[in-house]
Amino acid sequence: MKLSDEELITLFELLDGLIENNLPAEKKKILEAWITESEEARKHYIAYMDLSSSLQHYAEERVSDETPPAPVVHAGQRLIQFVNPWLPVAALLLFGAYIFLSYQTSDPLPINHRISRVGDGAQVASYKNTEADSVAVLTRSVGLRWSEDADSHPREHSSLPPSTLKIEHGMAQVEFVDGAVVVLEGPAVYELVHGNGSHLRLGKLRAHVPKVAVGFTVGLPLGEVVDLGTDFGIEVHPDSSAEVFVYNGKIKYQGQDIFGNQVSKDLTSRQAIHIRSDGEIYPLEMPNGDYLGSAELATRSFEQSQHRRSAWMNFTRKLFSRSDTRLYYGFDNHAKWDRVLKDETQREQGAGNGAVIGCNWTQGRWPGKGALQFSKSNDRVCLNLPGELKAVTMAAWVKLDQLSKPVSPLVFSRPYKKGAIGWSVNQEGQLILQVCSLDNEVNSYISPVAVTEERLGQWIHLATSYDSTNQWVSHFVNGRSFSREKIFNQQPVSFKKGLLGYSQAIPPFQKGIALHGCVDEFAIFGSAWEEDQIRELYEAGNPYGNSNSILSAQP
Amino acid sequence: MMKYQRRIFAYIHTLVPSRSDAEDILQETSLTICEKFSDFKEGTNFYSWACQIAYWKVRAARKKYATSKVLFNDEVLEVISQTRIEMEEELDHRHSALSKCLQKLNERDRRLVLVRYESGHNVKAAAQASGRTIQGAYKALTRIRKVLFDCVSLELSAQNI
Repeated sequence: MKLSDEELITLFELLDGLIENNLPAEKKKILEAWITESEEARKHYIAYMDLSSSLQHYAEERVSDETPPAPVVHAGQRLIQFVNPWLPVAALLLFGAYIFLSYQTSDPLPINHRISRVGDGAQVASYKNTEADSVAVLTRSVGLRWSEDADSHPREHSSLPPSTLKIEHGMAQVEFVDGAVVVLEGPAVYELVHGNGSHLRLGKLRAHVPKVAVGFTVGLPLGEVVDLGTDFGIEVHPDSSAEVFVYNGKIKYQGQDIFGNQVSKDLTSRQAIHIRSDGEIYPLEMPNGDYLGSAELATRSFEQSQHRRSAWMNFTRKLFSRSDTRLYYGFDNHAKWDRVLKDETQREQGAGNGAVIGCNWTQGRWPGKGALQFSKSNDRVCLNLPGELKAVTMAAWVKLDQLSKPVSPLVFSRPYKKGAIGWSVNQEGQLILQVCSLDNEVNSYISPVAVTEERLGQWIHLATSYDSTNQWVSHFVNGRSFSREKIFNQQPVSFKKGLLGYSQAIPPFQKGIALHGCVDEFAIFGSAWEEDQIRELYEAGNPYGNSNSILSAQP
Repeated sequence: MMKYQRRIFAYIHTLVPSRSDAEDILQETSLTICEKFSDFKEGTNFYSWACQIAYWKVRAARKKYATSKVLFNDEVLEVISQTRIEMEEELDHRHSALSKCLQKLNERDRRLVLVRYESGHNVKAAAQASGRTIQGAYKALTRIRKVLFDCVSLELSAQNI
């Protein structure tokens, strides 16, 4: 039966209704009858639905081809233009809610497990409240180097408590919880006092204060600037003299001269003052050039991150050909719809490729680099690495959204029997290596707290080496040795049919456990790497740069 | 598996018109393919093997969710699946031809249709992206799909396929 033109028109109307999910039940029956009885209608139906799938394919292809452009700053353009002051506030509120919930106690580890080492309880407790008093977030930096005598060396996306930031050189963008955004240019000494107040002791800053944060104050050596809704810049010199520039809006300067007399001055757009070291103030002409603003910082940050990415790519190419590299997932150069995770090693073509189940592709450590987002209960990557290894090193760049209960699985072998390996982070943030030595016995090697709450949402490098011959296991965090201990026996391990980001139900856990976070690099080496090798791996891939942040007390 | 990904999804989507339901079933299918991969015999047709798994996943979804996920009854599913497998070669050509036909659309129409089909987008998002009302976007999408369908058919005729 050949369909008439009128019937074809009706058929396409039905197909459109079906695709847009607004086909009434009675019309669905008509369509069903047509599909069953008419081969021509059925073929039209199939071709039409296939067209819909193909459109989806091309739409996703187009999206993945659209690389986000670098921000462009034009002369005279208002510099601070992209900051949404509510975002950091909302993020911190959510973070606070998370911390509240995460105080719930975790399940104990399986009681039949032999635990060789447990994190120091005092250490765990000391990390717990770090978020509670946060007044700001370090959101961006370029070429940042902290002074050696600085109390802390926070990394990008760290929450900042009331404290003093000492910058030797480079730039940092700080977003206060009440909404003000400050770009600091080193050398600078800047004290964070509370969510809407600060003190500049030395150096330059540029502040953007949205209406919600009106009243933001910056203390100076001889007074303070109170914002009345504006963009302004300040420079404080080593002799305590200072300049204040108002680019837009209004500010009030109030201070004292050396005789104790009150000095006050209101400034509006395009006005500036010089405050001498004796406290007297004089009008100043506005300079032609602006201080660095957020948009410029974003541009420089983008350029710097691309430079780091390129260096990382050069470094990792060397890894592919190493004889002990058993598996290497760079998560790079994948299309958004790819369901195969490419193994970059020179093993038999495609033999180490992983099957991506459920996970979505997302941005990795640098703009344009890929990563897999594990968010749903079935998300995982199936991998296959045959054979047993007497020594092994696992290394991964991960960004955890939460410390899941009971663990955040990184990689687990299947089936979970003799020689199987499990690598995860528990709810306390401790890195755990589990090795099955017999069918019913699991040995757990647990580090002190490695992933603190303040590190959630940040890229972190985790690595663990296992050497069954020399009988030791080491955990590494951000390139530094975190714990090292003797192991119980000389059990070789196997990753056969492993799962990345997922653990199948292993007694006493009743069901499979999924990772909540992103992974953008994962490698398995067939030897036990030492700290200097892990450090090199970390430094090559560190998205935050290798300034003196490595001097931080914590790895 | 990568080169089959789109085709397996397209196969499921033919049986399950709702995109999100088809994606759920694709995920379950992928999981089973992964778990049963050792059962696959090298040298045989992977796509056919995967489609068999997908077919039974669709049937199972029909039982599991009654008719909420799967619109058609088993008899209809059977005939669609059979015909689809016979049409595979033609559908591959249609997919390639569609790329050319998309280029023939004007920018506004192309933007509308591609935004509509982006992951997580709907007609409302597409309407906003192309500066149309929602009602206007529905009408335009109907017209554009028909234009593309006819264009693809013409391309295949020109190639004697």
